[in-house]
Amino acid sequence: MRPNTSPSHERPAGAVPPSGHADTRAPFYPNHLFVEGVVALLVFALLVILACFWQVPPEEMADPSDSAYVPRPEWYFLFYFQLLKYFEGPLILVGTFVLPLLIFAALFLLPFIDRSEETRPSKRPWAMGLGLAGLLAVAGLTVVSVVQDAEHRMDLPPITEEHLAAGEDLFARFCVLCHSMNGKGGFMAPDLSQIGARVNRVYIERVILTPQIVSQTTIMSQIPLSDDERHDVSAYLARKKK
Amino acid sequence: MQAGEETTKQPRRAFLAGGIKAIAALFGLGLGVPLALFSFSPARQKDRPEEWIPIADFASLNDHRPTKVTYAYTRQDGWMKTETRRMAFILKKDDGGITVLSNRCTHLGCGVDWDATANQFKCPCHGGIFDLEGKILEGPPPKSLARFTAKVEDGRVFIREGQA
Amino acid sequence: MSKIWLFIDRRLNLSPLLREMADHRIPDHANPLKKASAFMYCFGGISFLILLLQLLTGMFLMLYYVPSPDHAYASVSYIKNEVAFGALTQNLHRVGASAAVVMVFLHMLRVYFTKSYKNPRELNWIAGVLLLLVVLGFGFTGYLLPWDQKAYWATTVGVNIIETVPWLGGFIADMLRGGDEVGALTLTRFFVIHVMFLPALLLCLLAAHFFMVRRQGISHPL
Repeated sequence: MRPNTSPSHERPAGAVPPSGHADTRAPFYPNHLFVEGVVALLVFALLVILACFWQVPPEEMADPSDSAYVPRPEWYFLFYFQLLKYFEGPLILVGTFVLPLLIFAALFLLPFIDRSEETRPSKRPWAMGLGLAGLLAVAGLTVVSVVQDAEHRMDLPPITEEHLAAGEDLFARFCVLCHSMNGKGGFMAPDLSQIGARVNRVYIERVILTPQIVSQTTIMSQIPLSDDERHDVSAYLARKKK
Repeated sequence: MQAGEETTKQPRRAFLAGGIKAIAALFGLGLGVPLALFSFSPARQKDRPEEWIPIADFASLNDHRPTKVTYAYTRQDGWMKTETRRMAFILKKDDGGITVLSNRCTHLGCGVDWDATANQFKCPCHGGIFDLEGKILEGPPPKSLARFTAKVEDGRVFIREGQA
Repeated sequence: MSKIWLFIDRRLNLSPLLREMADHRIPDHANPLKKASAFMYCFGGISFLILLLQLLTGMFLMLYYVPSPDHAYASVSYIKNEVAFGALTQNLHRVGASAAVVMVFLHMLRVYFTKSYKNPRELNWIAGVLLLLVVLGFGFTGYLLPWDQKAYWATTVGVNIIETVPWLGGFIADMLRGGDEVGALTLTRFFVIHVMFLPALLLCLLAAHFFMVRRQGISHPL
């Protein structure tokens, strides 16, 4: 764009203030565009910095057979995800249909519902109240969702070939004394050849940590594994699916 | 704002206009350079695998005329490995060595074929003609047919991916 | 340069338009240099900037991305691990998506709390709500494209939510998935919605949005 700044083109009549006294408001070009440009550069720089430092751990490829995966939507949908937890049974319709319909209908019709000329916040108690309540609800539900997830989640490292090999070694050192795998091992405890098809990795982790969650009378003892070693064993067992 | 006021503000206007140009240039560089490198990146990676590809048994080669062979090999093709099929002509030399010619016409890349009656390679597209050794005889192609780096080992003919 | 411009301008008479664009005045309450609270009036412009960046990074990511269950994951890994600036471009697109949602939301809050939606700007508010829906649609469809665990399961859950809607829900869900399960057909659909349908809609709505702002001017302060 090359806005013509030659003096032969005076500004059109519409831009001249009516009474002839000077208009002190900034013109779009160059004053305001410059400010916008600086802001744009700052935002761009910030985004690049964010993109450099805010990484997400790599995910494994989509696996429709993996029921152990705990799906979560992108963070800005978390509040809605959390909201759906509160509508049980047929009430789910309230969360998936009635509320979204009401909220978006209200948003679309807002200018026609709230028709007064009043703009001062103090004179708009209903609008301000609803707006703030909506904000708080979204923020609150998001926080609750994050907190609940943090409580339930175990940060399991992704499964790699090294982890699987280490897990197999550990299994051969400790577990086979009682458990069997593909026909080899002890007979004191259940066969684990297809354990990954029956339970997920988080559950395996929990059982190794606290064998009693399977049964109060289990004879399984707590195995002296480090956290990393336990992750290796759970990775190995979770893959035993066939 | 009157015209007189405008002139007193000219330096400032020029400064701001220059600033806008500088910002535009920064955006151009900041986005243009990484995105250009992003786009060119695979085309700049020329590291082909240093592997010998078997293409024929030496015993099956014709005497005094080229042997047309199709061969297949696995190629790293972007994010995937593809089974690639190619064609080449093998020529037995009198000294027992071999020459392996690419079937790609050096003009615009059409596949040339061996015309047994004329004893020439002919390109079906624009009439390029090459002799038994792949040397250009007639037509628009700028140079002779490309030769592969080739060797014979344990009775099999091997070439390197990429041309000699 | 100026000769080319003169050639064009003599034929199309563009300079009055540019002149008018260049000289239109920015009200002080929306000018951050004059009033600190005017930063709120930047949110819309920043949203626009981020959406432009998304269009740009998105176009370039499409140089390598393949919307097929066999190739999607591998092609995204290829972008991230093999292509120069690939990890940055991909992550910029992902971070940009979050930033777009944040800025559009903040922009909407500003309009809501300053009541800029009131007469005569009702239509522009409606265009804005539609734009919010489009941006959320971008987020939802884009989430599936990497074809990783998160993508697959979040989309499964998301479409199942739509399925619970009475009467039309099952139909819409099947249309989105291209069947009764998330698979290859879902991926190509989401891809095309993400890179063709929604951008077309976005550009139309943005044009309408900006046209209305220029016709009506920036709303008055509180």
